[in-house]
Amino acid sequence: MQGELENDELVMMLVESALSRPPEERENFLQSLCSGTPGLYDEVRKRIEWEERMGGFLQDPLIRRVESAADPFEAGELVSGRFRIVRVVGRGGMGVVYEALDERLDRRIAVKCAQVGFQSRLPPEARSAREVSHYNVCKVHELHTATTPSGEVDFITMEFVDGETLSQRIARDGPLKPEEAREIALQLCAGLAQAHRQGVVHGDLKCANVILTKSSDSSIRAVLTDFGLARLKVGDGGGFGRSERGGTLDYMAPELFLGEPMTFASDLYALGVVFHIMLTGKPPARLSAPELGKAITFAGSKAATVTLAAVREMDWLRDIADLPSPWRSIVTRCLAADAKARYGSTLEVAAAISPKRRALKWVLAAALTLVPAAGFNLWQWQQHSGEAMRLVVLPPTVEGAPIQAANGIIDDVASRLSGAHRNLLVIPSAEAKSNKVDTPEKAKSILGATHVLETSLRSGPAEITAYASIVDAGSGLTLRELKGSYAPANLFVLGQALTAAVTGALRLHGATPTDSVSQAGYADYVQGMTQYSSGISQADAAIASFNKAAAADPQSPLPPARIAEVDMLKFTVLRNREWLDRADEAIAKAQSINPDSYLVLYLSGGIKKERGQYEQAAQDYRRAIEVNPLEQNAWRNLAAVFASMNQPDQAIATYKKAIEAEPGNYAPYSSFGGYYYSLGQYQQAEQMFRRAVELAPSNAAGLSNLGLTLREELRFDEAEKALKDSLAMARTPTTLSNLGAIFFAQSKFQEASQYFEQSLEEGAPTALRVKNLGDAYLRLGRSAESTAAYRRALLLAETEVTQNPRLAYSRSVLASIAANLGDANRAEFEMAQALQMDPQNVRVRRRAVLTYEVLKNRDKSLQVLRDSPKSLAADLSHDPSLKELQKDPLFQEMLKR
Amino acid sequence: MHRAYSKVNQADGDGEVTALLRAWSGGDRSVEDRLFQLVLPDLRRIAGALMSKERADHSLQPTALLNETYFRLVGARQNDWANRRHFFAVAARAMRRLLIDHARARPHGVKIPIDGMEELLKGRESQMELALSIDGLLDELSQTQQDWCSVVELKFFWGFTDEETAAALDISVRTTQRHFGDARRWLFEKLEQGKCKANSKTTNS
Repeated sequence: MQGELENDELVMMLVESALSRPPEERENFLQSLCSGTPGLYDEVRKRIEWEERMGGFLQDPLIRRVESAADPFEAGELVSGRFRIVRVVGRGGMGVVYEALDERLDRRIAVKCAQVGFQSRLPPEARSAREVSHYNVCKVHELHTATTPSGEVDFITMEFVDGETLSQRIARDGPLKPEEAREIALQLCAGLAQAHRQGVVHGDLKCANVILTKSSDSSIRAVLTDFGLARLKVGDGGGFGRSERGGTLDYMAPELFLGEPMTFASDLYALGVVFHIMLTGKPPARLSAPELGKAITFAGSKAATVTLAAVREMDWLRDIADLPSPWRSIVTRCLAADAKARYGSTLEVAAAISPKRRALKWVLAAALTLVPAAGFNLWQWQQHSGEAMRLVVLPPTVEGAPIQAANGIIDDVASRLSGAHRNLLVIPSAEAKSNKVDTPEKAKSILGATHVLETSLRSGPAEITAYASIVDAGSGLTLRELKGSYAPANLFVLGQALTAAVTGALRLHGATPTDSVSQAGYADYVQGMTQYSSGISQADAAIASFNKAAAADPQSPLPPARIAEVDMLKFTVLRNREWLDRADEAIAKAQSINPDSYLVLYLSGGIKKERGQYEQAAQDYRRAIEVNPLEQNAWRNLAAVFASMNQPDQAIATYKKAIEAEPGNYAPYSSFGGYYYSLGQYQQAEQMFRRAVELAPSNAAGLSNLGLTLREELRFDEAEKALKDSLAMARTPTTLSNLGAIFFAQSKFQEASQYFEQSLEEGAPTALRVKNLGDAYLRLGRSAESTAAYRRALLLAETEVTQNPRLAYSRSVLASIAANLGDANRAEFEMAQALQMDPQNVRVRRRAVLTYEVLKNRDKSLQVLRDSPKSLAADLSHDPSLKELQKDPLFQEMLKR
Repeated sequence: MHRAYSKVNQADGDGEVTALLRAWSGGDRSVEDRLFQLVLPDLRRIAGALMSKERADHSLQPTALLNETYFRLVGARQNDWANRRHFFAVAARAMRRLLIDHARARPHGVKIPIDGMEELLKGRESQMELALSIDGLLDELSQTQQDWCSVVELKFFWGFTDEETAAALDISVRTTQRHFGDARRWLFEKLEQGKCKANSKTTNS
């Protein structure tokens, strides 16, 4: 049946698309698309001929529906007691878009409704789209359900963007001028990059989904809409679209024609088409006829087994001769037939578009809120230390009641910075004032500034709020911001914070103020540290102590930073997002005191890493290392960030640096071992874990990890011993779950289920632990309990993926649970994402094989194995859930190789 | 909330519809009449509610209403798609009968009174001719291609959109479109053949 579905998808889409063209163009259109595929061509041609002959036969129904029946809401209606519908502004594939007023927040919004009738939960993409917040992405506020006379209607509230779509604009005025096209292209890249960073695929990128509007300074603003909603238009009960991949023919990447799911790479293909349309007014024509026949067998049902290997570059060539020459290479690469040959990320596209390398860096930085691009080599990131810098300190602006100390503080900052670095010349605010310099532009043109510090203060009833930014005068972009509130008595802290913000922004060495806690707060601080070190049970007490310390010494960033650290511990154990948010709050407080402190940078990196903001995290860690290269924590975590960004060479080099920094510390070995484990290099992993155990024999986690690695090496007895030893030292849910996994691997499902149950009793459940239990129940024939466990695991996995959309392994677990629950579409989609996010990760690949086997998609499991290290096949040859695969002659051949 | 069809014939019982649907999907078409008897009263109300422009809740969607009828009559679980699909097929057929009976009765015959039916069919004379001419053919078609037949019934007789039809029958939108194209072609060919025969008879005589 799957084959038939895919077949209908392609055939009927071609029919629809051909019929939408004038009759005389239809033949050429068909020829260009499918003349190389006789089966497909004949089928589509025949249908079109019949349609032409039948005209509107039976198309006009006997019963005409009242027109307004399609609209769930009416103008003037108050929806959900809060949203006042103003008017219909558009009708699209998924339903109706209204302008509305959010009466609670008194703001103008857009309301987008799914079709009435068969509502289901919005797909997870729509939920993660809500997380994407970017100037060039239409902000999704919330997902709601309203009760109407015809049933429940799901709708989305989002930012109201007043403007026309890119396609309307081109239809009216024709192709854009190159400068404007470039500006829009860069903005689209910036928006798309942010979404991709958060794991959201657009899925239906096209000119009609770009709204052009004006920003407050009347420059153009391009806004991407409908993120992750491509498949929402399908109104069936499955929640996930059946075979419809939203998407418009002209924008569709070859792999989508072949039934592959949408990915970041297919978004980049569509982006290339958008560029072409912007510059020439039309989509690039297809030069040759793709040999779809190879991939899709018409009579049979082979479509489901098609793989990308069937794509040949020459079959999918498109005519880009009309493009202005600088754009050709860019669009060519976006339109590469093989997804792997396209740009590695949207940021690389942006880099290619930007006119000059130097300017480019700043454009990217702006797109990333000042973070180097993922694909860039972070080690080569340019340091300012070698260049002469002229920092102009502008006089502070003050709102509200005058602040006497304001000028004094700013002068203090200038004098602290003077002489801090031999390449830095500081021009104090008095000089700026006497030259009537009050903006970065004037600072650059009159005083030759390379950098500018701008500060504005506002005096409130109890506190003074400060906002400062360090601006790169050349590009006009903000390198770093400082925000904070200070009690009038503690305003001197601002001087220290501003100094640190500048040293951090200019990456000066050895100029950061050192942190300590004053005598007044010291006792509480030390008590907090003691409580913190005794673990989660004392966490609340530790926070209370640190709060006392913070009150006693408002000048030190250490107490609030430690509060963030405890919050993170709570988050790690309880997996409740609230603690991540609290950690954010605490670290913001610490940053308002000293943003360039090692501990503050290190912890801020950790929070960002947890949210999947790896580039930002890497920047914090790098600065932490510059501030204190002798501490292993920042090195070790930077390495982990590289690993998460698929930069294995960087990761390994950085783990080695972490070991060098503190050779006697077990932690770098332990993390390094974990990385080798994820790569499937178990011997190296074992070596690292053994070293970690040697260095810290009382650390239960080391033994637990060692046990897990030994299991992968099929040394079950040793593994069991290591884990039981670890358990004797500390009874943790991870160790219990690992023990269960060992028994599972030996087909001892009863013992396995008991350990999995205990692991869940011991701590907060994770998707994997609950799924493991479900697997064990399934093997024991307890199918109802198994299904219940899978359902619970699915919810947990969705939460994990929402918390950090870039966690490839979590996503792969989500996919495998979906497969267990029989949701093949979902499973395939999530797994494709996971594999693309972290292609090196053997744990993800292993999960992929297990999942494809559940889905009975042997071709795909073999494909994954072929692209994986040999060890994976050997490893899986003992897995009790893969009996069928193990019998496959192709698999056995793979083992022999 | 106002509902035009809020009266429920509880005597029908849940079990009977389910059993009939099972028999129907098993190929026993003789149960159709009884199923129609059970379904028709609700369909009439739905048709009435649907078409009357004066009603406050004119945003009613036939799929949503039918869906609710289904859950009420069959007492089905949410995921009982196979059963639901058959219900929709039967309901589509029933609606067709309803409309055809109404059309046949014109201009002199007895009409089954349905709220809003007059309104609904006003100015649709040519479509009614067409409906009458394909009615018999559809019976023939349903022998071999039940899905094609249901798609025509939902799309032509009920005025369902592609998406609604797809959802009702639990097939993809593209498959719906293919079925509809195939069914129209089949009917078109049959009608043309019929015309040729009629024409040749005329010339011969």
